[in-house]
Amino acid sequence: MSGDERPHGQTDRTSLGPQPPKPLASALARLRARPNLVVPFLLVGLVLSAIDWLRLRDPIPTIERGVPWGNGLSIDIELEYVGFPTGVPQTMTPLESLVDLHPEYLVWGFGLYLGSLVAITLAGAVTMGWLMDRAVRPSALGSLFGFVLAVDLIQRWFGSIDALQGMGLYGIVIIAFYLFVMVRLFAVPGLLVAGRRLWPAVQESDRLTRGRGWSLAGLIVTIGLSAWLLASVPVVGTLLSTALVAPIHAAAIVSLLEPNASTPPSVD
Amino acid sequence: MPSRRRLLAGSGYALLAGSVGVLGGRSNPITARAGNSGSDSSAVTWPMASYDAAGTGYNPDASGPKDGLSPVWTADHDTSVRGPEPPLLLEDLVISTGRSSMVAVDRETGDVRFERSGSFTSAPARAEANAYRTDTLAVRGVAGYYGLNARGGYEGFGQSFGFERWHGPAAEPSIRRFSSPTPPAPVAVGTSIYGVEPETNRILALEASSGRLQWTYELGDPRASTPHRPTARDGIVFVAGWPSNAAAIDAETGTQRWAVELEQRDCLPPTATEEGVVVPGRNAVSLLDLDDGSVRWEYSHNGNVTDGRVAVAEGIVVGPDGDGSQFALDLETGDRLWTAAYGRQVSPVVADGVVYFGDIWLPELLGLDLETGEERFRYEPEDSGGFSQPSVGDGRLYVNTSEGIVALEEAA
Repeated sequence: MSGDERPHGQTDRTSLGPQPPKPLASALARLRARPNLVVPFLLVGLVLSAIDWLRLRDPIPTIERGVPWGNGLSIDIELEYVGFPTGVPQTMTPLESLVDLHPEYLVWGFGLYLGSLVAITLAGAVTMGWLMDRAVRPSALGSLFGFVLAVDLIQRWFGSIDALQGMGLYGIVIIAFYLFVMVRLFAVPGLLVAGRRLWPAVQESDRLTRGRGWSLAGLIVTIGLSAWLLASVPVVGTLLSTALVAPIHAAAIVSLLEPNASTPPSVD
Repeated sequence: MPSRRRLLAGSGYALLAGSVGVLGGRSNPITARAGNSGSDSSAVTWPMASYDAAGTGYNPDASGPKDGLSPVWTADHDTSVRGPEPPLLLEDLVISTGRSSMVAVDRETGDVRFERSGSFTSAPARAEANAYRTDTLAVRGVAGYYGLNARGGYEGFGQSFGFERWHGPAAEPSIRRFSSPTPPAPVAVGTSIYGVEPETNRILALEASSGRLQWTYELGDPRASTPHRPTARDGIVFVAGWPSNAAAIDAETGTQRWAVELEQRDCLPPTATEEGVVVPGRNAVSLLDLDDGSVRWEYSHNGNVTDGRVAVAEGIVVGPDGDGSQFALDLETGDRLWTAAYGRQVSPVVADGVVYFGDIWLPELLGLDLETGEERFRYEPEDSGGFSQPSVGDGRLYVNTSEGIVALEEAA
């Protein structure tokens, strides 16, 4: 009997290969090894903070993020996870409020909206590209921007449906479905940066996330709650959530795509 | 091909210039705003309940039927608009708040131009919105105020878009209330909107373009005071509230100018005039000095008035005495000019020498002569459920009824 042979019915666990590292642990390890990875999202955090400041002073309607403990009696906990690495801005312009604006205000309002998404896309592409040690092609950048824009618009549309707001316990079903979809799409941003087209990226993300649903759901909840908590800090909430959470999210995506790179690249 | 450095520098300069331009605001927004195609900007407007921010109920440029009424059209819309609050007249539209939506109909034909669902609980007020090509309608909701597109936005596949611009001062609540609109309605002066925050004793000032809160003011005891519709004149906002509080507030800063507690009981909505602030109450009417709130005159009718407000036109104050009559007073002296037998406690309006009365519980519209109090006409259609406060323009009355928005003209 050779060293590789076992009695019938027994399996050798070592023959299954090493377990893929947990994305969060791998992400944190990568960031510790290369702290400069937070720079792109740090810059985007400053950009989003500047956009918040401008929105609170221009004459276009702006929805301001409420203080979670504003009424003193209860806390509104939110899961700030949208499907791609980003921070949590303190302001949002409803697209409906852009209708019938004078042209200069329309350009301004729409420009701020698109500009924030462009900044988030660039930071995500650069960060994930660095992690994958690959240059990002303009076509990949365009695909990622398209994904970011589509997800943002879909999220806004869901937010405008009255029936989905304030559902109480019945909303748990909606949340569960949302988590399921987000888990399956978890790797899409990274696959787009790697050069995949959208539909193949969705299919591959679905394949990569099978068997890891619960752990990824837990990761999504962790990312969402961390972003919510950091965004709740007065004045610097946007900067903190963007600079600290978004890089971890980006690194976690890459960790899922490159599970065999169990040790982070060495520091140059 | 410009270098990357020049491209970045150019973008930075453009962004800086854009920021200064947008944050600096738009100059001369009225002339800069393009006219809406098909609209008649020369048509007489009635931009809010009781016509103006001062609450006079009087449009010196308007003229209505004088000796009888005849229906022109009844609009056929889905929502019920029955209630005491009047429709707005805005260019080519007549706009009313209904139980479950805001409806706008063509002023000439009564055809429905748009109907937008929402939880609106007051009559709207038209405000100028600097950033927009169309005006903003301010209307009270369950927990604050909505800023709405006065032209209705756009509609496609059964969905509207671009109608709701903002909700303030806080986020729009998830609860909805579907009820007939009731006072107090907001008032608008230029680009500012003033109103009572629902379920509180606070007066709000909101910016019409962005909905941003400019200031708040608390009238009287928060546990007991109920402010009425504010009035505004010459940069001052005047408020009065139950039971007996009145105050004057700087319209720009929200700073209190004066606050008094009146001897008369149960104040009703005030009216700001060049002579002073007319404050009706349960059994008297007072004129308060504009500068310090002192009582210049008081007319005691000893009635029991619990609803309605006065109209002020051409130096004459007209209102209910709570004892089966309407009175007319000289604005300067408070001397009674006439009384007329009409016991409904409503909010009259005046145009071209005629005082118009409508009551949602009475199937009649009454017209009295402003100078003498003599009856000009009494319109009592069959199968009518009552009438709101009228709006007057272009020789017509426009009212909300249980059948819908109705336009009435001089009877042949």
